[in-house]
This record gives sequence, structure tokens and C-alpha cells, in this order.
Amino acid sequence: MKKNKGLKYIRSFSRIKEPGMKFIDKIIKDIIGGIRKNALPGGGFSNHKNGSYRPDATSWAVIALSNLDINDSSIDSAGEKLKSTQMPDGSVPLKISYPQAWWPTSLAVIAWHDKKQFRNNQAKAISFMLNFSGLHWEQKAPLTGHDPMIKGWPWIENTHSWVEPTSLAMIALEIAKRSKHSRFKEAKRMLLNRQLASGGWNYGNTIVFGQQLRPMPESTGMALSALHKKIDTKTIAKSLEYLQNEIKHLKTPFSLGWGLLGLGAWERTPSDKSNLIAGCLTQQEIFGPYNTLQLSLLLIALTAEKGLVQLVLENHNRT
Amino acid sequence: MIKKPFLTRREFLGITFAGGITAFSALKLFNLYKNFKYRSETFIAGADNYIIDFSKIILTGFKELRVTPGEIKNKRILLKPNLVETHEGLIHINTHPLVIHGAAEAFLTLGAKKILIAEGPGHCRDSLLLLEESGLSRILKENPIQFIDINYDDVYTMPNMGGRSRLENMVLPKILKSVDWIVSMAKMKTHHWAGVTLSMKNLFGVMPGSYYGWPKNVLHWAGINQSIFDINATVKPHFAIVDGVVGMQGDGPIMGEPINSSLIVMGRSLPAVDATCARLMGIDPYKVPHLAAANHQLGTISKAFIQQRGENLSSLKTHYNLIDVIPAQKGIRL
Repeated sequence: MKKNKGLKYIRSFSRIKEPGMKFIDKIIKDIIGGIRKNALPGGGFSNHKNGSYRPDATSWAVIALSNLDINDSSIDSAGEKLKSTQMPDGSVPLKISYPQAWWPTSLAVIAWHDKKQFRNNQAKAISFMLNFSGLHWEQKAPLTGHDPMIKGWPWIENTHSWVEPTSLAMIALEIAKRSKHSRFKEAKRMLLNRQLASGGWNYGNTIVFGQQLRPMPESTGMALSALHKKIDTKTIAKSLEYLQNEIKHLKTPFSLGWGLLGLGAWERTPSDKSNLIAGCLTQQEIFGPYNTLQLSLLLIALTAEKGLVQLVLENHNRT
Repeated sequence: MIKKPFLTRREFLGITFAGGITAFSALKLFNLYKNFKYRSETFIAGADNYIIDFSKIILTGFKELRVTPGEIKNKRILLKPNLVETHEGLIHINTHPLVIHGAAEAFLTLGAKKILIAEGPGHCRDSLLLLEESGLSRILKENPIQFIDINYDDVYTMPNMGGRSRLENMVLPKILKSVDWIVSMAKMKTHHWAGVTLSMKNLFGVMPGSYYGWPKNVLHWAGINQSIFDINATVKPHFAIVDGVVGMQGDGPIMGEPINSSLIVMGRSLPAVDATCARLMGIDPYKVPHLAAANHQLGTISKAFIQQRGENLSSLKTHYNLIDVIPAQKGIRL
């Protein structure tokens, strides 16, 4: 693996307008170092040190590192590793021996974006996604607040559709320019149907036995990222307000990363973004080293000005 | 000539009756044998608040339950709390960090080599957020305790040893293989799909979200009660400690109201601990499907075969509110 040649190669650097470039330089270098520690000799990434290959960790690492002008051979070999674990039907499961967990397929679609050698793999994966959904039914007795008929995507085959896999699938489809597809439009309807009346999203239940459930920052950030430029601001105003209130208290990478990406997509990035990320990184003293997914999300959140979709598409336009 | 029948009607009825009596007696004897085989002890301790010394209480429980230093010395202990969601001021959702801290201290006092806290939350993908907001991160900061996020751990596959759900295999986190004791540290709560959530239901959290989803919808479709049975039959946990200092009644596991039970329940047998907890909540364990299924298979839920140590069960009983429109809570009152 080639070493990072320095910050002059980091494309996103010039786009960060906050003061204290050295400070940001240090954050980026630390995160890259942490991600690279989980690169596997045979290609791809594990989620943590000495862990096994995971397609989700691999995809996130590729998405995060591809955004930087660094010549990193681990990116190409990671793409190849993803390709080698793609099933004949186009899905990219978490484990070949557990093909029903095909939720990483959306992530592979994003990771393969803009890479000619994986164009066919990406197309097969998209075709798979468009042909599969979760379990859906007509609700006779209203046990839950949402409409279970509206299709999105599930975490695992033969289960219901939920907010996070649906959001990831929408992000992947938008990046792959398939947002005009009927499945994308239905998924958009699904997300709006799962939005809590008081603002925000959780994993995907709104009301159960008459009680409205509570929102979660990571789900809200993902849903807002997926709905980027697809609806008017008024429809998600309460959710934005919820996330803007939450973001200043968030100290953990998953919630902070997705929170920043969700707000960024709607041009609500907090002015102290890099401080929030730096503070989050110091929490490793308590929790131990962050995993590939967590580090990648923080790196993406740091370098993306207007959310994940915009970041990936901007890179595509530049290359 | 009319042939004499092989048996007269009177003889037939007599034999049938005698056979019935024999079969009934045999069944009774068999149940008695099963109850005897699974006879258990549980320890109930009063605990008025979360400021008290939980390690002292748990050590007393260990002594009463004959958990000896010889049994724990140099062992790796995995504490599996119940962490679901956190929201400011809601201390009735998750196992309290000070109870977890007390358990860690108690096991270390008996000579445990390492304490690990492991959880795979079912609603929230950000496990670290739960640690941070529940206050458990402070315990981790101040003590040599490692946290394992089960949702993202490497995995291994085991055949389903319970056979009640439609799951053929169980995908389990590797951390389970590297520990000597698995301790289910549940919260005392009612549950809108399972009636109650105690130490057995708490083991939903050992099933990695990466393979079972958020929520763990695979287990819902496979049958919640059946899956609880199967996970317990496959994982074979060693001990249970239930935080009932402040429990949850009504629409649990997250939207119910707090209720002060002011107690801790412990034991080696999870069905016995959960049956005791259910009785303390004013709930009939025989009417909770996963507890009834566990009876005679994974342990006993019979009051007559659970020896209560510590505080008296009847003096600490608190009737948890149940909601009739919730099918899993209908008709389960003791």
C-alpha cells in the first residue's frame, strides 16, 4: 500500500472553508491512518483490527478514500474484492454463506461508482435492487402507524422494509442516476410515511399501540440524505429542526457522521463541524479505536460540504 | 354359537381406566422428575435506589447461590445488559450502568480474569451513542472493562438447538466463543410483543444486527417466543441478574412507564429467574408463552421447585400495569 503523499493531494482540502487547516490536516491524516490499519492483505477491509473481510466496511472505506487525491492501491483492490463476492444475481451479501443479508449491495453500488472496470458489476447490483423488496402487506387492524404496503428495502431477505436500508438504496440509485425509477419514487413515499409527526426518523416504526415512538439522529441523517433535493424543505422542516438541535450534543461517530451528512444535504452544516468531529475522535480514549465504518463516515462528513450524494457526484464530474 | 369377545365391555373399560390412571400417573411422575431435575434457586435482594453498593448485594447473592471463587477464578465473564434506546431522564428503559458496574466488581472480587460488556442493540445502530447517553461510557472510562458491539462482531454459525422457530441455524458473535460465562443482565419490563422482557428475552441482543436487522426483524418473522426459546437453547447462558430497581410497566420495552420494584433478582437458571420476576410483577409465568415453553426444557418455572433466597417474594410483589389492547399482555395476570 502506498503512503499518503500529503495533504496537497487531498482534493477536499481546498473545499473546507473553516480556519485551522493544520488542525483539519491532522484529523484527516489520523482518520486515514485508522482506516488503512484495517486494510486486508488479500484486498478489502475488515471493520476492526484482526477482523474478517466485510463488504460494508470495504465499501465505506472505498467511498471515503476515493474522495481524496491519494494514490492508494487499497481502493482498487477493495473494489476487486467486492466484485469477487458479488453473487450471480447481482447482490453483494454480507457473507456468501448468508446470502439473505444482501443489504451491503447498495453500498457496493456507491463504492463502484465512477470506476469503469466495475461498471457491469454496478449495473447487475442495481438490477438486483430494483427487482427485490421486503415483505409488505395490507394492514387490516392498525397495530402500527405506517402503511406496510409501501415498498422500500429490508435489511435481510423476507423481512419488512426499514428506514436505513431504504435510505441507502435511494442514495445508491440517485448516484447511479436511477432516481426516476418507480421503485425510487415509492421508496421516497415510504420514507415520508415513516417520518415521525414530531420530526425525525427512527429505524422505521412511527406509532405502535397508539404511542408515537422517538426519533434517532442516525436514521434521521440517513433519511434526509436520501431525500436530498427530492422534496420541498417544508415537508422535512421538523426533522431538520430535530437534527439541528441534536447535532451539537452528538459525540459518537455513527450519529454525528450521518447527522452532519443529513444536515449538509440540506445546506444546514453547523459552523463548528470540524470541532465536533475532532471531539468525537477523542472519545476513542473511552471506546477504543473506531472501526472502518465509523472512521469512514467521519471522513466523508468532514469532506462533504453538501452531503454524501453531492460528494460522490462531484468527484465523478471532476474525473 | 356366539363367540365370546376377546374382551368384554366391562373388561375393556376397566383396562382403559387403569391404563389412563397409569399414564396420568406416569405423566405426573415424569413432570415431577423434570421439575426435580431442573429445581433451581433464585436470590431476591431489596434495592431502593441506584446509589447503593450493588457489588455487595451481588456478592451476597453469589454466596446464597453458591457461586464460589473457585468457579469464577481466572474466568472471562461476558455481561450482556439490555440497552435499547436512551432518552434524557428515562432510566426505566436500559439496565442501569451502576448495576452493571456492581456485577463487574463482584465478579472481579471472586477472581474473574476479564470482564467484557457486550450488546447488540435492536433499534439503534449507534451502540456507542447508547453507551454515552446511558452513562455506561463513564464506567468503561474508569474501569478496565472492554465493550464489544455484537452487531458488528465477526460471527460463527451454530445449528439451532431449540428447534421451535423456523431458523435452521444461528449466526452468533465470535465473542461468545471466547468467554467462560455469559451473564444476562436484563431490565424488569413488560413487553408489547412478548408479555415480559427479562433475562431470556434479553438474549435477542446477542444476535448480530448485521445478520438479523434493526429491528431484529428476522426473529420477529421466525416467531418471537419461539426465537427466544431457540436462542437460549443454543447460547446456553450461565447466569442472570435482573435490574428491577426501577422497572417498566405498560407498553414496554420502550414506551411504558417507570415503576419502582426496588429489587434485584439473580440466579443460574434463566427460566427460574424470569418466572420469579414475573411473579414479582404480578404476572403468571405459565401464561407467558416463552416461559411456559422453557418449563421442563430449559429450566423450571414451577414455584414449588424454585427455592427463593434473600427477600421474601410475596413481600416485594408489585403489580405491573398490563394493557388489555396489547394481545401479548392480555390475560397474563397472576
